[in-house]
Amino acid sequence: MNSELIPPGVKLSNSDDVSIIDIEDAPCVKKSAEKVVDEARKNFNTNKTKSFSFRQRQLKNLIRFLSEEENALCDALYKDLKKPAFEAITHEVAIALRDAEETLNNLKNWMKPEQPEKTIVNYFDKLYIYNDPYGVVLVMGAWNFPVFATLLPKYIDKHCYPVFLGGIEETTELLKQRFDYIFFTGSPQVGKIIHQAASKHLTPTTLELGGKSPVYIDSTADLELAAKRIIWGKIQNSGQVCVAPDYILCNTKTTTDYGRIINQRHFNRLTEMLKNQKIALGGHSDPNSLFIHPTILVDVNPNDPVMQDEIFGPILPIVNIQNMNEAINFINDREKPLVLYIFTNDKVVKETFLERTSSGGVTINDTIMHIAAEGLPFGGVGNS
Amino acid sequence: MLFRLQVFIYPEPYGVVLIIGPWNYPFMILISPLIGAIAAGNCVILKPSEIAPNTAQLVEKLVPKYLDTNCYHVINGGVPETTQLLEQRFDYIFYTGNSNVGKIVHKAASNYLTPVTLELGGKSPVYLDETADIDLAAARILWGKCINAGQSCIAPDYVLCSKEIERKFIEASKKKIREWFGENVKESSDFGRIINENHFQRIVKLLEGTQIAVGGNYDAKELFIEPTIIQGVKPTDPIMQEEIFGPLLPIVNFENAYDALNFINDREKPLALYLFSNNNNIHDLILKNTSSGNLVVNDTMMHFSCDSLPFGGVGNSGIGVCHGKFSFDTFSHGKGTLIKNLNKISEYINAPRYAPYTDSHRNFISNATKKKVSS
Repeated sequence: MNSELIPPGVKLSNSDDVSIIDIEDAPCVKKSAEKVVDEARKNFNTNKTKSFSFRQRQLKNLIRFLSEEENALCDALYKDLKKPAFEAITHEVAIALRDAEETLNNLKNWMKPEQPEKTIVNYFDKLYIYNDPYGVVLVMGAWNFPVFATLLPKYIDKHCYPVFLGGIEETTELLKQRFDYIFFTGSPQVGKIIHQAASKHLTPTTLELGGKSPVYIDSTADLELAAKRIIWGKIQNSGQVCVAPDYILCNTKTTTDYGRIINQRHFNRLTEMLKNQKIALGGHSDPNSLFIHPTILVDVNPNDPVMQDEIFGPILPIVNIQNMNEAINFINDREKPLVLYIFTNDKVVKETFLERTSSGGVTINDTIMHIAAEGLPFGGVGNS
Repeated sequence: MLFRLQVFIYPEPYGVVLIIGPWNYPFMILISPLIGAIAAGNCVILKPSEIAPNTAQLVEKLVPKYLDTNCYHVINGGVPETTQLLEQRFDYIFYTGNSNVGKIVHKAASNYLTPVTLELGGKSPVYLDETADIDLAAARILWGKCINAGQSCIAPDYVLCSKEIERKFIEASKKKIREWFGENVKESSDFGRIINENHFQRIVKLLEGTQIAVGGNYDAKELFIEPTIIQGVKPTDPIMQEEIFGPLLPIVNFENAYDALNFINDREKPLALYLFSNNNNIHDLILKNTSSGNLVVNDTMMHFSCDSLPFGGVGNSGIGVCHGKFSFDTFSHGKGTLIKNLNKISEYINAPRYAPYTDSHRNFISNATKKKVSS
């Protein structure tokens, strides 16, 4: 498990430093999980990642990466998801770029120790809250992004920020190592596995998971605008977004540049959900191109398969309810969602939902947009 | 791009919170998080430590007298009852105790993805150098070690100093102990006892083969161990392998600050780090090159009563923080909320995001969301 697999015909330097191989020529370069983590820890212990100038330099390089490699990123995203360049840029690259820029602008302030309030007991004392790094952090991305492995090391320190690729076997090996923080994005089921692995070393975690994000629409809402914003939210990345509106709760019927489903397994899962459902719009699919047309289902029963798991695809079921209270009970009978969407102009309705339900976040009168709102914390609660 | 919107963070309760208390401050460390959990709007199950049975029973009797009996329950019991409790689904778990049980609680929480705060422990080191007033330092360090007979999660565990300072420290300590407790500490009513037989035996065993400089007496019948200072300590000695949680203070010698630094960093991140020095360079060195839950310069334990400081561990010493608003925040989920208008005006700004995707739309969005990077 500790050997490094180096494909034939690849040149190495005298020092056997695997990281300077011309990676474009090599289909896969493997280092064991243990070695990668060990190396990262050794680098952390040199204290070089702690200085402001080092952090600033790496962030600037990341910004350069995002600007210079825009085409490569769009290309990879198109290959994976048939993602239109517009979405690839505005929803992925631009957001990452803005995050990096925002972080860079605030870095000095964020790094400064906070000076909290003092009471008379501490009149002669100094109180500070220092923001220490944890050490070696594991970031597990949602759905493989191989382009990072080849391009990222060209821009940022490859010893401090190694990219580790692999499937379930490699990930299991990785999770046996000791990390000082783990940040995971994915499904609640895998989230539990990650959390359990973290227990071994008491590693703190952030788990960005998912669930079924409900949409409530009442008669005070402009239905045409609401439909437009909801369908927009559902169509992004073919509904494969953790904050995509999952299903609609309303007592009226409503109706609707496109992507593909990520792989056969997910395609099959989604087309299974369509069986025996009443389709109001769409419904056709093409397994060869992993395409599913935006589909709206009506007369949906809470026990139908489509209402059991997070859909994560371009299928929008509509569940009928009589009034707001029924909608609130329906939502509260289920796991806390990552987001709750409410379309209404009634202030009382807004307040009632905010107080009587719990969700990671809430967006009123739109979908998805709270993730672009700076100053708002993005995350889940409970199963999300 | 986001004017005329309402953006706010709505603090909401998690739901049903489990608070598991320790035996060393069996009342305070149970009630303090309870206050935060109540303030945040949760329902709470309290599990006092069975190792402090009198307090546990009193809490069970009195909580229903003062708090809503439907929302706040006390469940007492030992390991089997706690295991059963941990099989239930909670929306938050707050645990105070040792790291080994901390791992069990964390693992149990995985089943339901329950967020946790773990206030654990470890060996909190004291760094002492020649620039400090040794008499004052000795007083503050010994005070931390003597209250509750050393059974505090943030008690100064061991001292790091040079041979020269050690001599002065020991002399100063002898004076202080005599001043506080008299010639016979056992007869003073101001010194506590060890919680039970198990821990008493555990601590006494740590004394075996050590070079005692001060104290060393104990009485099994009374579960009494007097304040004891140990010198000639080697890093491999049993007393340096586990959190002492008793009134024994080992002194480890170092010759320069870097040695001390490496000694600290070779070990698990402590819950507290105590630094006695008037040299600002040393402050900087230790501050920037170590990691600990909290850090106190020129005193021990006192950060505990600062409500505006986040109290908690890091690494093996814990996850999460509490005290003051930190407790309220711990037991609240901050729900990020965005309120928009559903009208033609706001839709005008939204327009570029819809398909068909055009370059001009893309440029509009890019420019609207771009940040100017200040060097």
